[in-house]
Amino acid sequence: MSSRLGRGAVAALAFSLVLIGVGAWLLVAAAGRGSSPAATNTALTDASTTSSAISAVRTDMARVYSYSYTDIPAAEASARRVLTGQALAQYATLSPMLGDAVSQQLTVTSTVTQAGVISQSGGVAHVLVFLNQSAVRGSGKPNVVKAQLVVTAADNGGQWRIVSIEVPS
Amino acid sequence: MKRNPVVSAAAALTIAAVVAAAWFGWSWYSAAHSSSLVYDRTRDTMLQAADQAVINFNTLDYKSPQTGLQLWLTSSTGSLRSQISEEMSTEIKTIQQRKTITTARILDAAVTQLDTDAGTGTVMLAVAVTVNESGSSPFTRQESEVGTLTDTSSGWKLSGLSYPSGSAS
Repeated sequence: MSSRLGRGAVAALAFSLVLIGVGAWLLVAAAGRGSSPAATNTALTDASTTSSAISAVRTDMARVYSYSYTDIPAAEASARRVLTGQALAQYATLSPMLGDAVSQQLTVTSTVTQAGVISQSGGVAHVLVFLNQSAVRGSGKPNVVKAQLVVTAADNGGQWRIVSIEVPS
Repeated sequence: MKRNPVVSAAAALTIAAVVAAAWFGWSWYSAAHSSSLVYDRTRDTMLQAADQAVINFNTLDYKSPQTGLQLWLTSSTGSLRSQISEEMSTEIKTIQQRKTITTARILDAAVTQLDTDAGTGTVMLAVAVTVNESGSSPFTRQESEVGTLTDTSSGWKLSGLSYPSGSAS
């Protein structure tokens, strides 16, 4: 009798150990699922963030890359409002080009034709942008240039700011 | 009759283990099957398929055109696929005349749309295409491409490929 009870206890104990092992493995696997690289990129899965990042980048890129020789200071002020950090430093290097715009009577109008989020997490989005730039000299014909850019934007309390602008390479 | 304390302890441990395993199992199941995670994985799978398909579509060697064009066919579906089959012989003739070798590299890509229920999606890609033609030095151009994808029984395939308002030069 006592040996039967002993065997039952051993079997139950072994069964428990197996269950604990399986349970622990499942828990580790679940944690792994949650933190895989795919899970940290919330592009499209967090649809509202994706669409707000895209809409901000569309507007802001058009703003930064549009200027008229008639009012360069206004264009500069407008661009600086949406740029921050590295992007602001990058923009400063454009100053000579903006100066040339005045002497050449240049008006540049830019539109984003396509924009999509490459990746986003923790309020930072990397956005691929296809940009059309139409430049008009004086009363001449518009000259259209196409560009591809990767824009990094950061959500600063509901307000997206452009952190950097890079050429895909 | 007095209960064997070992048996009681084993029984209690077994119950605890069953409960824990069930809970861990459930947490694994919900992590692996959460709709956002499935969507997430589908997004990445589709993006990979789009990258490879666009590389295939921009890779062609006049010395083995059949091999390259066969890849075009396996990467595409629907009207795009029928269009390729129709234009295959003309394409082969052109690249053999010019002795063209093209290779491609994806610089950046973003999923802009994904409908997992319908099995359709859109991807925008910045592509560097290197063209090597006999008699002229090789050059690389940066192309902006937009691919439409459709989920088929043999994976995601390109069902459309367009160049939004020309290519970036």
